[in-house]
Amino acid sequence: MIAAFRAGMLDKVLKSNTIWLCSSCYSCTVRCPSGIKLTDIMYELKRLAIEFGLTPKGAKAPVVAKLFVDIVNEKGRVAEVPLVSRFMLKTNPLGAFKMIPRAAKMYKRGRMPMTSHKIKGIAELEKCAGAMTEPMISGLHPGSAKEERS
Amino acid sequence: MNKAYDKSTQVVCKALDIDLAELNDWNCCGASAYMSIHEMKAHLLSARNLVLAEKEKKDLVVVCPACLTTLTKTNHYLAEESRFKRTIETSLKAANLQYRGSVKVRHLLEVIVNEVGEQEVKARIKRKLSGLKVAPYYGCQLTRPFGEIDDKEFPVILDRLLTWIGAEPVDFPLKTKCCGGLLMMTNEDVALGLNRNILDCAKQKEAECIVTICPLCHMNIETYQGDVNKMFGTDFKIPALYFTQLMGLAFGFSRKELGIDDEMISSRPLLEKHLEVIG
Repeated sequence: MIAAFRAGMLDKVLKSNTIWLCSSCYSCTVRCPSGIKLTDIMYELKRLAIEFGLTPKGAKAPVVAKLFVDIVNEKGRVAEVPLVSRFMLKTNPLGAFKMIPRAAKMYKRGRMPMTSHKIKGIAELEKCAGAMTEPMISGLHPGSAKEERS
Repeated sequence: MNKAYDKSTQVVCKALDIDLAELNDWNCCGASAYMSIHEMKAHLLSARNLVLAEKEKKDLVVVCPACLTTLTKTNHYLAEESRFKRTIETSLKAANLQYRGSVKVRHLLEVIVNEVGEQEVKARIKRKLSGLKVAPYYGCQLTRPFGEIDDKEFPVILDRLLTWIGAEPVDFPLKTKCCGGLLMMTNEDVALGLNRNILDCAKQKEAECIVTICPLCHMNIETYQGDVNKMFGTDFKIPALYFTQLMGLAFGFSRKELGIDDEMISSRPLLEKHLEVIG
């Protein structure tokens, strides 16, 4: 991935499934001897792939991420059932049946919050987001560079 | 949040005289999903929670390592990156909000071990978990990427706490390996493979149960064991309990008060074997 990126094959990188298999466990970040923030690079590549509409066909991770964002923007909090049900409808409506037994078991045990609570501050959050001047600040490295970047 | 984790957290904190107050009108931290779409708006979510906590003059204590990492990351950038800080400050100002940077973000496990301490925890023990062999499972984001709490890959903070309450943590080399997180929803086969490795390691080390500190790890490792078995032809049946549930048991609380028996893989036989009332 890094080699392809350095060779200028950005479209190949952005279309790859690899970036969507990153679960953000930060193992690579803490192991890199050169201090490269690889997890943050993965985030950046995910954002670019979405921005350019280059997510791989059939990939489910970008679908979940978008739905997650929608629910947070709408309610301020996310519960499992609204997220999973919207996700199944979008990606695999028939597969939803497969999930019913587990979902039922978990519901019975009080492990399935059904609705996302809407917070009072949702308008406040919207206002703040609307006033945001820079949606992306690339290359953030805590502690390593305190000066301004152009 | 998972009811069992919520209940057991409240009960244990009360017993330890930790005064927990739910942050009024908190919002979701955005986790890894929001960050995959909008960078600065994701940080704004954390920033609002920090603002709310500062207003109440409190530190933020969380029981989810993903919340911990997300909030800590924003807190760090706000303290260290001027351009970042300016962008967030301008946004907050639109709703007359302001953050001065006074809030500390901590995981409950760390508060209990470092703040409450061994003596106070031991003083509350009413039941012995005699010889219960447990696999301490930290998951990824308690210690990564910042490593402020403990070693980034081989932490011992949970091992120590478990020893205080009489359990026997096994040597568990996969203690901070990833459970797959949200991949269980999007790339199930990959996530099941990751969980198989963790379960396999726990079994090899003869752990009788896995102790978790993260709701997502707990969900993956516990509720998906049947799916792991189906996919790999294995026969794992290892109960998982939150660290707060195990503490609560040692403190003498009932299973009901701790949300035990909500699991898919019952811990009942195991606990009946090991729980012993002192005096």
